[in-house]
Order: sequence, then structure tokens, then C-alpha cells
Amino acid sequence: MQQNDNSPSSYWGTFEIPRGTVSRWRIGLLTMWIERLDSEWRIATRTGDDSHCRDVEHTPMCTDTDLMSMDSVVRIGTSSISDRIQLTPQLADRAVVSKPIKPFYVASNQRVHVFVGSPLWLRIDHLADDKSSAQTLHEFPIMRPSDTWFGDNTRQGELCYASRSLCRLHLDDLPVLPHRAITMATVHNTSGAPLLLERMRLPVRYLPLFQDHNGVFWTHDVIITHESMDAMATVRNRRQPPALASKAMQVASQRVNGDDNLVMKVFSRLFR
Amino acid sequence: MSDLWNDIRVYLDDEQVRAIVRAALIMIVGVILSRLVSRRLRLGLLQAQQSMIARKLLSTTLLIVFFAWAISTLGLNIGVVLGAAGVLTVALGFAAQTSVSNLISGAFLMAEGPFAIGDVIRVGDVTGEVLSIDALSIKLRTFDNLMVRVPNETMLKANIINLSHFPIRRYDMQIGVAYDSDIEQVRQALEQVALDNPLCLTDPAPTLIFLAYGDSALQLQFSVWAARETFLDMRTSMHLEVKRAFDRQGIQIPFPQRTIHVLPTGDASSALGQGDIRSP
Repeated sequence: MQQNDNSPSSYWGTFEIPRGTVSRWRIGLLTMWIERLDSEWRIATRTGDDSHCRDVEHTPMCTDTDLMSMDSVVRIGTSSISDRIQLTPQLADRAVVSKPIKPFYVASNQRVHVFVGSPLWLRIDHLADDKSSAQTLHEFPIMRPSDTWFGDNTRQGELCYASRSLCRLHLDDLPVLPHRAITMATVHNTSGAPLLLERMRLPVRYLPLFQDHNGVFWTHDVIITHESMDAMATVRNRRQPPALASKAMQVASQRVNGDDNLVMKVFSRLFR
Repeated sequence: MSDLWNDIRVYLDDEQVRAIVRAALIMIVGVILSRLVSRRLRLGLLQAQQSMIARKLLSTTLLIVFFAWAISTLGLNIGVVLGAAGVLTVALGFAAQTSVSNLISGAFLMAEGPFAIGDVIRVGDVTGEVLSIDALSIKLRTFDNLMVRVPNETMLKANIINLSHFPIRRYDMQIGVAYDSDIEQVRQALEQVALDNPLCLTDPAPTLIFLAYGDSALQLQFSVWAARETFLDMRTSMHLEVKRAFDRQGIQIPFPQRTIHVLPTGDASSALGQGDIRSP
């Protein structure tokens, strides 16, 4: 596997923001400011236009920034005296639906590896002085994905997010971005007929998040076993660090604890 | 004092007085039971409104049963009472036709369940949130905060549009573009706006439909989908963003136009000439 030259570096972790100061982060197309005041935290964000921007930058003391003039500012009151916060990337709070650039068939009794990109959220926690507890101040998507509907019809189904990246058969085709995690899904077609892959739903809420030594975010690998178009597929969480991620370190745990084997609808046809 | 007690004993020895006391006790028990049923009974399988109406029916039935028991305890012929009630019912029935129709319509509506409390529905030209489903009518709150009472009979006969029944909704944007517009450029501009709007669902995909060669513009329909919770936000934001995109790309949304041909007639030809005047 060939690594990209401009792999995203880490922007998450624990930070101290003294009172009366503003820290700024740039994570891809997102610029975020956090200001610490007496009894208050202020968080403001601004999203740029370049969705493929890979820049990651942290400016601990940012001056001449008036957060109150920004439309997106969020204010959180607190009585805690701690000035420490923790930034943690998280996977999305809904399933993510991905499509290939062109639909393709998975032959009967064959397996293919499919690489899916999922958007990342950023959670900001306020740490107590003794680090014994953390209180979530704010959580938001680094780049808000589009809503999409996953279901056989418009009456029954589930609201999901649409992955901006197409699902790929080759990892090198998937751009590495600081606001995206990669999942390697092994699609195993055990039915007697070819499986037409037009749309695929990934239950990312059940997956933890990792980062490798190149700064690339990954989830657990999953194996999706498809028996027939009308039946539910089995999604098996491999519960081990992603195979292609070298020296992967867990960044965040899964949002929802589920069984190792989840039975759900994973594939569906496009609406016509 | 002992004379008083003797007088009370004499009264209570009287059979009629005992019957009245028994009837009163029966009525008191009946009222207490009826109130208990009305306030405390939990019917978990029914919706909130259905449960309330069922409790009211049960408590009323209990009252009627205890009343009949009390009447019979007093020695009155319940048949005579019922007969009189029957005549009264016929008379009342004629007077209460509409109410009874509303009552029965309400029962049918509850059984069918085309909407629930909290749904947004449209009945005729009234759109609002369902506040309550009562025995005779439903109450709606319109979006300008007015309370509208719609009789159940009207509801049963009317077309009811439930705007919040399904989880996603389609919005049909009616767009007119100038005749000299490049339709393919318009399509790409609209699709990009939909793609950039996170509230606009990617599936079902937005669709562009050509409607007509209008008087002043090419009439198009751009259909987009959104979750019902974010439908209004999507609708507004799409219109704003379409206008911005059209302005950036020089795509015109024309206003109604008329072309006037001025033709020369005789002596007027030298004064007026010939030409086209376009009026806004």
C-alpha cells in the first residue's frame, strides 16, 4: 500500500487554554476557535470551500479574533475552574451510505475488499482538574455530510449520511483526509447469484476509531456476508486493529455497543 | 338525647327510608368507582387519546349501571324508567343528529388512525398540528397559532393530507428560466446546489423535469427530498442557493414578458416606424 505524502497529522488530544485567550485549529476545510473566559467557553467554527484540503494546524494563542461576531458561536457556561479541554475525533452518529463510481457485480461465492470513507465528528470535552471526569461541551461534524435515505421505498428505511467519497476497490484511489476515516469492508457473496453493488450501508456507530502512525484514521475491518437480496446481511466486526493500518492506536470507542455479528440490510438498489 | 335516638330508630325501621339509604349508598359507591376508573385506569395498548375516551365510556357505563341498580332498590320498575327514557331518546335523537354523527365518525376515525396527536395535517384549506382527537371533533393548531375545531363528521368525509406520516418528503421547486438558457447548464447548476446542500437527500436523487414552454419562460420542476424534520429549512435554503447559483452563472429567471409589434398603417408610418417594444 502506498502512503500519501501529505498524511494528516494529529489534531486531537488534551490542550490547555488559559483564561482570556483563544486557540485556533485548522482541520482540513474547518477552522475552529475556542476561547476560555471566566465561567464560560466559546466555540466558533467556519467551513471553507475546499473539501480536499488536508491542512492541519494549531495556533495556541490567537489574537484579534472576536468570536461573538461569528454566526456559528456556541457558548457554554461552567463553574469549573479547569482550563483543560480534550479534542476527540468520532465516527458519525448515523450509518454511512457509500456508492461506487459505477455499480459493479460481486460474483457468486466471491469476496472483494471495498474501501469506504466515513466523515468524522469532533467532540470537545472539558476536563476536570484531577482528570477524573470529562464533560462534553460540544460535538459537531468536521465537514457536515449530506443526508440520505436508505431503504427499499420512501416509506420504510433509515435516515443515513451519504459518504462524499465513493467506495473504492483500491485503497490508493481513496484520498486521505484529516476529517475522514477509512473502513475496509470485505464483501462476501454467498448467494447463488451475482450481487450488484449500487449502494452500501456501513453501521459506523458500532465501530471504534483508530489512527495509524501516518496519521490516517481507520475503523475496525468488517466482513459483510450477503446471502440474498431480500435477506438481511450479516456484518461481522473483526474486533482487532485494522489490518492495513500500521501501529494503529485507538482514538475513540464505538458510539453504540453491539454484538460482533449484526444482522441488517446493507445493500440496496438505487431508487428509479 | 334518648328521644332523638328513638326517633332516628323509628325512621330507620321504616322500609322506605332504608331503601332510600341503600340507593344513596349504591350511588355513592358508583360515583366513587366511576371517578377511579376515569382517573386511574391505565390502558397501555391504546394511544393516549383513545385511552382517555375509553376511560370516559367505562366510567359513564358504570354510572348508568349503578343508577339502574339504585332505581331498582327504590322499588321503581326499571322498565317504566327505560320506556320513558326511550321516548326521551327518540326526541333527543332528532335534535342531536349532528352530535351523534360526529360521535360515530370519531369512533371510525380512531379505529382507522389516519393521524395521531402531534401530526401535521391539512384538511381543506386548514393546515395545522393535531392537538387533540375528541369525541365530537379534532382540534388543530395552525402555524400562525390559531385554534381550529373541525367536526369529526367533516374529517371523515374530507381528504386528509398527513404531512408528517412518512419520514421523508419531496419538494417540487417550480423554476422558470429564460428561453435562451442552456438547459444542460441549468441542470448542472441545480444538481450542484442540491449536492452542496446537506439537508437535501442524495437518495432519492434530485430530479429535473421539463414541464412546459411557458408564456415567458421555460417551465421546469426540480424535485428534491428531505427528512420531514428539516423539510422547511431545506425548502428555504434551496431557493436562496438556486438564486445565488443562477446569478453567478448568468442564468435568467425572467419576469412575464410581452412583445409588441408596431406596424405602420398609412400616414402613421412616417411617424411611428416599425419595431419591437418589450414591456416588463
